[in-house]
Amino acid sequence: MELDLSKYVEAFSAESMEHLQHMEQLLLELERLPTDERAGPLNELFRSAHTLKGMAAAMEFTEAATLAHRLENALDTFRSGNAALTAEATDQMLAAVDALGRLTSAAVTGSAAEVDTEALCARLEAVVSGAQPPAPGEPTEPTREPERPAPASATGGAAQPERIESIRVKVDDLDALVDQVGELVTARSHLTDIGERIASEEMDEALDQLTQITSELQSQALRLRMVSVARVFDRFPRTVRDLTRELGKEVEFEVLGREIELDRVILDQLHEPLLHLLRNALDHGLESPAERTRLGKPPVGKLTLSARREREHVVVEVVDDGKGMDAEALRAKAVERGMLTSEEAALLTEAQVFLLVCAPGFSTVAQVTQLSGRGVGMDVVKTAVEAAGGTMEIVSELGKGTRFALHLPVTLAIIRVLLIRLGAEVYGMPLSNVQEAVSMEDVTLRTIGNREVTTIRDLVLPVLRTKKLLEVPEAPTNGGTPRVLVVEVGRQRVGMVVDGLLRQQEVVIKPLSSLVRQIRGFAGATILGDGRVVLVLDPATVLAHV
Amino acid sequence: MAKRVLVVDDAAFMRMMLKDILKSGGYEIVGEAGDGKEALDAYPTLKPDFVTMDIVMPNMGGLDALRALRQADPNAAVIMVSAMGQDALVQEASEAGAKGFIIKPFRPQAVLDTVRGAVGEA
Repeated sequence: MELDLSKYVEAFSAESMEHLQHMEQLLLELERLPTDERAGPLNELFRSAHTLKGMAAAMEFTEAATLAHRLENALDTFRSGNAALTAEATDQMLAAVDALGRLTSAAVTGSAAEVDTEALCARLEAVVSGAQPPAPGEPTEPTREPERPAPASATGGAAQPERIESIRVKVDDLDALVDQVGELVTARSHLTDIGERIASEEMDEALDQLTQITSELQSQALRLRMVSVARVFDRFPRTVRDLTRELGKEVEFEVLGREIELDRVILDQLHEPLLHLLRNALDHGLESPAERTRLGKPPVGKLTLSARREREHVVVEVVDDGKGMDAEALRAKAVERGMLTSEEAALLTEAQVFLLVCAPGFSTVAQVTQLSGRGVGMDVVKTAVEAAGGTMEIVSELGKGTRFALHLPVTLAIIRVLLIRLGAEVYGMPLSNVQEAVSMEDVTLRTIGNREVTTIRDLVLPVLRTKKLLEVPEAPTNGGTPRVLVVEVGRQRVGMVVDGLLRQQEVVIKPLSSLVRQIRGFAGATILGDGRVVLVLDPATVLAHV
Repeated sequence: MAKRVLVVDDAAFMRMMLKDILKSGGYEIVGEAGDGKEALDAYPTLKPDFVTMDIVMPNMGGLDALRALRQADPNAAVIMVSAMGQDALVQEASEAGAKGFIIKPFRPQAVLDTVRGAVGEA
């Protein structure tokens, strides 16, 4: 029998990537552990390197097998306590893990990887042989086999060998499925409209059944596309470690809520903005250890990346305990740069002032960076977050630190909208942003400065004339009573005046063509059951418009 | 009836390869396990004719599992799977009653020869 190795490529690729990711996590974890607690992770690392070596050899990927073998040897030296695990040693081992990743993916695709295995191994072995074993008196590595929690087993139990627990699906196929389900939802709405006109009991029953099945299918299809944020979050401990070493800072980096799930499409768009926020926090937010000591802060800074579910949203936060941002300095700079008059600047809330750093070009001014403690490119972050259907909020206290909160939708594909009337036209408003609708008759409008406000439930809200804002022509409305919608974006709330409400509906949002995409204020368009095309408002950009 | 085998390895990928080779030799795969503990749990119910056992695994390694299996069932036929260069371990495993050794990377013919030598034809 000859083994057809190509048959195993996919399984090899998936499993080796898991090992490499696990090894990276373990290496990062090792550094933070006291010497006498390192034996467990070191043994685990050794085993992973050993397994990888065997797998690569089985696939006849010689170079990867060689590198894994030399890494295994190095790890053996560390776990037997014959060399001290220095930061340089960790650097070299991380580099080896990276290189293994490149070698295996190149081998899998049949391309050549630009990896100088020999040089890499030489450097690795140099740090191993150059590192003195721990001096006598210092705690040495324990030789006992430590107890470890059982790692999640992928075998699904030994007794049912033939049952396959999971399968791999192409992302494109999954997206196509979700799109088709979206089309089905639209078709169902159309049928429901027809059903209402026909008024047949039999038809209603059939429609009810169809509605139920479609809803379940829809939520199941969407669940398939949900992945935990760990997929993106887990790349950051490594990045943060490398950056702190480069910048000469010290930081304790904590990652919370790795298990929270998001639509993959949204998660994909999150890596860059988060990387940016973390880099900014390390570079500009956190002070050097010396500076922190002088200020009476603990020398090691704190940086947290977290995710949590909040009603219809997932909130992702980057929090540091660094310099914080100076609202007054930012106001002054905005005026100086001619972005605002001093009157306008004075009217802005602190939260609005902080968001000024996201205005294109604003933060490229070096002085502002120094004053505000924030770096370049925040406009890119804000744009990316908005593209993912989210909003950003900044809370900062001078001298204490800064919190960036990204409020993201759980899924992009299908949302519930409230259909609203403006003049003779119908628009959609994402329901997740609507807190309540108050009849216009129950609302007293006042004017402060040149702005209309009202008080709803003890809360003073600015009121927007939606029709005017969106330049919708005045026309008689076909039914409905005028209302004020309390619309919430992040922690900002406004009242939006509409001429009437139609109903709630689940819709599939289609992106606008590039021709009209420049028009801010709209998230996209959707087709109603009767074939009418309706624009769906994007509350975040509507509010930014104000 | 074909001889029945339990395949023990922490790497699913290696199990997959070994299973294919053993099947091609006519052996029947009755189960697989990801470490020594799982193997010990599965052994009494599956009652395989023989076991292939990787050496380096989490939770319980192959040598410990071999000893425990032989203690529970003195007739247990266990073939160890080892990488090249693990000579000291091979010695230890022989003393603990291993029936044979399969060397990684697998060469199908060599694997089947070893298995036939240790437990006989399928």
